Amino acid sequence: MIPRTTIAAHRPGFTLIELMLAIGIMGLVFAMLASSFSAVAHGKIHGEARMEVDREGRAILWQLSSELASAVQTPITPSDVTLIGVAHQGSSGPIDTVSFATLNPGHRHSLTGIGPEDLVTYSLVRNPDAHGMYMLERTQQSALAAASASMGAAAPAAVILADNVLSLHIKYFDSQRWIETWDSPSLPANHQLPVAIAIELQMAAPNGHVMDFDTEISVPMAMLGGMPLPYSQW
Amino acid sequence: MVKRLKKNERGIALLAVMVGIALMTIIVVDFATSTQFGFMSAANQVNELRSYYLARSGVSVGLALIAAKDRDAVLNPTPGQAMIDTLGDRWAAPYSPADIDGGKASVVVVDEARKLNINGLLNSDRTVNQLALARMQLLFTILNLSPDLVSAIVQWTGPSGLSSSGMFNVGLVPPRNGPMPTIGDLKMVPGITDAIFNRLRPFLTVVPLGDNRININTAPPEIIASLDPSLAEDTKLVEAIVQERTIRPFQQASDFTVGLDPAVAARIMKLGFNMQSQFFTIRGMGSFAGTRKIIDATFARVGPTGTYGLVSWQED
Repeated sequence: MIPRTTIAAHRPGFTLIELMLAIGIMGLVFAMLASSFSAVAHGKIHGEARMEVDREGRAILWQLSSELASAVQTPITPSDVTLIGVAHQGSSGPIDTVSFATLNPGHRHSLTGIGPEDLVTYSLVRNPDAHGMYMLERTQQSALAAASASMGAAAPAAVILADNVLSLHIKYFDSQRWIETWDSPSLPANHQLPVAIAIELQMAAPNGHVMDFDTEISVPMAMLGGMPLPYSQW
Repeated sequence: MVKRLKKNERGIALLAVMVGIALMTIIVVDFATSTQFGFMSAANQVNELRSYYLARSGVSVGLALIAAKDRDAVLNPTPGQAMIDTLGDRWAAPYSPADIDGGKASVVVVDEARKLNINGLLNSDRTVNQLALARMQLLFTILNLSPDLVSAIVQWTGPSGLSSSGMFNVGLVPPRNGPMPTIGDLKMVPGITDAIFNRLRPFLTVVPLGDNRININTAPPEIIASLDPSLAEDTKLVEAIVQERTIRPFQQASDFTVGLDPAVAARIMKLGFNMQSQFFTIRGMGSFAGTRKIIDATFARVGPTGTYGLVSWQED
């Protein structure tokens, strides 16, 4: 009866070649694993960041267009119709600002969604931390408070909606042609709003990608309104 | 002992691969989840857009209903009779929501002449219209609301001299000091809470300017009662009036006043009333997959042939 230990002692060991081969193959396997692992991880981070920008851009466009669609114009009662669009040029395209009175501001103070008009402003300022990018700022305040300067109301605080905007281009359709700026106070009553508004927003996504968000909205008050007769003749 | 160890060593490659695959699976699943959230938010936006267009189609249907009335009047004129707007008209009938492509669209049409006009509280020279003021106060009493709120409304819309000093300085929003462009202004009047606003909304309007007449054929009982204090006390009489007009709508002023006490009739005639409506508010509602949109659009009858102009458009 040979003891077990003797068998173990007689077992031949690995040669140097075998060991090197094994380590080499293992290294290869791990390297492949690591590279595919990092590719997946990188793809995930990149994809998520792009999706975040996509979500951000769509949310901004949605809010801006629903607010513009409810711009104030009341043919019966005199009201402060305001829609002032100014064109500016940025480092990589237009950086327009728009200021308007709307009945449907994104952040309503009351729950039922009904109240007097609010004055909303969208403007772009240079992002100090990122070259070539702009911060999209939005302010909102009661149009009544804005109209009465005697109240000495403090300027409303700006909310930064995004800090990676490359350009914002807003065009206005006056029922005949598209124009770059809009100035409602200089227009005749009941024709102070554009019939349609086009918005083009460009935002920077990681890895130098540029994402475009475009929309075109109609303004019901301008489309269907514009009463041909003053109220006294009805 | 040693043999067993040797056997275990063989699984190391499999183990490494499995760990790798597990890690990658976690990453991929996580990514898929966040992609799904992105997809859901996009789908939600699409559904909101669908609701919006369903609501808009509701408004279009409402406009067609009121325009059909004008067209009928032109095609089949009744000689010697002016056109009247009543609750028996097609636009006033209730419509059940229509199923359209998996969503729902519905429409409610209300004429504005059935309501009391907030902008009628002041005359065109910006002085208070005492008749309108008393009637509005009576309506507030009927609705179990404080008539003092009417004074607050007058101060909010009237010239700045009317408002007592310091009254509006408490809030950040200064008074309008002019006619209310939309009914939403009512919310800013001190003392008008959301509950009071919702209570008042079916009875108050802001159009037209310079015309305080209500349409006696469409006015709700509360508004008819507010015509005169004697009517406010006599609910039976108001009920009888409402019942009578359902059977036989009032064609002219005398149809309404004929059964009333002559003194009351004279007082009501002084207030003025109408059998026609010039303004109609169409509420279009759309819903699709959990999203909903409401559009309140007020149209004015411009010409006699069914031409309507939009005077107010409010989305919610």
